[in-house]
Order: sequence, then C-alpha cells, then structure tokens
Amino acid sequence: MNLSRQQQEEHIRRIMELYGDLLYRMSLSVVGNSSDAEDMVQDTLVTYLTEAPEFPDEAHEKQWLVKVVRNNSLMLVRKQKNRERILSEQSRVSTGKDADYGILDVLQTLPDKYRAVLVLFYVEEYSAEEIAKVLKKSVSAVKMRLKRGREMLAERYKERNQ
Amino acid sequence: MKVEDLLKEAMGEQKLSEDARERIVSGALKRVPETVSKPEKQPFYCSPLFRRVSVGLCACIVLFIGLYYISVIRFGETKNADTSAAPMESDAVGEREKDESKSAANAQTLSPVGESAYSKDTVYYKISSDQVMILGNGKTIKAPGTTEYAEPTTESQDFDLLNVVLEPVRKYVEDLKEPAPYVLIEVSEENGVVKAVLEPVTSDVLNEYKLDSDLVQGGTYLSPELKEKKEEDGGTLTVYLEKDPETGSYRVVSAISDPYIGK
Repeated sequence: MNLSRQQQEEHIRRIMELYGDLLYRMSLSVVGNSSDAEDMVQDTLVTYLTEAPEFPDEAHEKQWLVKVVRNNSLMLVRKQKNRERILSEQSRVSTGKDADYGILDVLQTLPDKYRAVLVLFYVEEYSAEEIAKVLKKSVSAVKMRLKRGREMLAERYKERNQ
Repeated sequence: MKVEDLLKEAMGEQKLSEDARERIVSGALKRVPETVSKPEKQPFYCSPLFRRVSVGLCACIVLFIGLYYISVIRFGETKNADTSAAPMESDAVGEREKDESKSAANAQTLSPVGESAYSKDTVYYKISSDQVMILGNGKTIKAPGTTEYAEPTTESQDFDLLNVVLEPVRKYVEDLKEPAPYVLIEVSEENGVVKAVLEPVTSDVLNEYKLDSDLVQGGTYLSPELKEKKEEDGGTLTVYLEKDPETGSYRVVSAISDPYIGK
C-alpha cells in the first residue's frame, strides 16, 4: 500500500489525536523525561508509517501502538549507560506541584514491569485483560503486578514523604 | 489520598502540548520518505525467525556429522588397540556373519583407479603401486582397497610378476588350515623361481605398513603367546612358485611357513 505525503500526515495526525497523550504517558513512565518521551512517540509514528500492518479495528491499532512505544522506550533506557543520568536531567518530569512531582518521581524508582501496569490500569484505565494482551502476560500475572506495584509505590511514597 | 489516585492525577496532567504535537508530527514526516510503500507480507521463509532456525539446524547437522566422524575415528582407534590384543578364538559366529556382509559391501567400494581387486566371496586384496596386498580369509578382512598405504612394499617388486603370482599365492593362503590375514611384502624372481614373502598381520605389521587395522577384523589369528614370540622372531611365510611349462601359469612348489602360524 502506497501512502502519499498527505495520507501520511492524515494518518499520524489521527494517531496523535486519538492516542498522542496515551503514547506520551506510556513512554514517560518508562524513560522518565519528557524530551525522550516525545522522541519515542515520534519514533512510534515513524514505525507506524513504515511498518504498521493492516489493523482489523482500532483496538488492535491502539494495542500495537502501545506495544511499540513501550518497546522503543525500553530500548532507549537499556541504551543509557547510567540510568541516574536520565533521572537527573533538567527536563525531568514535573508538573510544578511538589506532591505530583513526588509520586511520579517515586514511580520512576519502580521496576518497568510495575510501572507499565500501574500506568495502564490507573491512568489509561485499561482492564487487566487488556493489559495482559498488550504485555503478553496472563491476567493473574497482571493482577499480581498491579498489587505489588501499588504496594511498592505506596511504601516508597510514604518513605519519601516522611 | 491513595497513591493510585495521586498517580492518576499526576500522570493525567502529563499531556503533549500543541507545540510538542506539531514537533512530533513534522519530525516524523521528515523522517519517512514522501511515498511509503508498506511492506507486503513476506512468505514464511523470508522471515528472520525462519533464517535463524535454518541456520541453527544446519549448524546442528554439521556438528552432528563432525561428531559422528570424530567418534568413528576415535572408535576405530580404540578398536585397533582392542583387536591387536585380543585372540581370535573369541570370534563368534554372529560376528563372522556380520563381517561377511561388511566385506562384501566394502569390496564394492574399492576405488577403480590403480587397483586389481579380486573377490571370491571371502578374499579381497588390492594391488597397485606403493601398495601392499592383503590375503587371507575374507571373513576377517575389511576393505583393504580403501586403505592408503604410504610405504612402498619393496623396491624390487615387479608388479607384472606380482599380478601373475597373485592368484596361486592367494589360493595357497586360502588352503592353509587356519588362514590368517597376510600382507604380501615382497615378490622377487631368481632363476625362474618366484619368491613371495608374506607376513601375517599383527599390530606391528599394521603400524609398519600404515595399514588401517579395520582391514583385519578381530586382529591377528595368533594367540597372545604366539604373537609375542612372532614379534620377537619376525616370522614370515615364504612361498616359492614356478612356471608351469604346459599351462604357462605359476604354481606353488614349496613354502617355508612361519613356525608360529602353522600350516
């Protein structure tokens, strides 16, 4: 299937309209800074234009995009020699509110597998079944990660704010 | 407030600004060619997974073949050591039948170049330059023709002569009560009498002529005691042949047998 420049633009504008924030937040939860997260969204769009298969419906398309942005973000993080450098960058996640900054900061300290399920479940309001499909895990594994991730997040947040 | 609510609130506020969206879209458009043709679905054999699996399988097959040949070589060496030490009395009927079939199969694999192969169900031998001859009970001989002999027999060896005396010598060896595998090490003619010197196959002979011990299934016929004496004394079997004036062919007129082999 050949896409003209106009069609390409239409496609990615539609993607950005529908899933832009979702992809950004997913990436942000992994890479921990906004500039890298934006780059990962852009990489995902490029992948979409060059490699995306035909999707039977929007749900499949969304699922594919979430997978790609997460994989791209994980690869970026793995490439970083020192993860602490990412956390200490000036463009670190911040909303300007101390409390909000705190919870996202704590979120960055969790292992990737917990971060992904927490963001998808509590922020993007995915069901456990949907998360299981995206992450290719069993529903029970997703629920277990949710439980542990939540406990870990609460524990660390509490420690930080004591 | 629960942490999950805090998380939802904080993450919910993380949104792309309009500038960021434009930046992302324009950046993505710059990075792809103006006309993108989405790749068509490739057949399964073009997939990287198939390539990896194929390469893996090929590597396994090569490894298996390599290991097989190594094990054959190693097993052969071990068997040589075993057979040179083991007496022939242990030759079982089943083993002999097995050897027969192997011998027959090996006889068919003789190289046609530079060889003179003869088969009479039980005896195989080969003659060509720089090669010795194996005579004896074919049931105990395997594929002489496939062995490379690095050592020449004797400088005086006349291969034409050898060819004509070969058959009577072979028959003579076959007629021995207990024919052992022999190596024909020398053929010479003096005053019309042809002398053929044969040596029974022992581990020493195999080593000397660089023969493959697989030639002689079960090793020497000599018992360990006789073998020891033979290796000390170096006994041989010497066959004398004369030309029959009537038929023109050679016949055995006398033989000096190795005392440790018996006749």
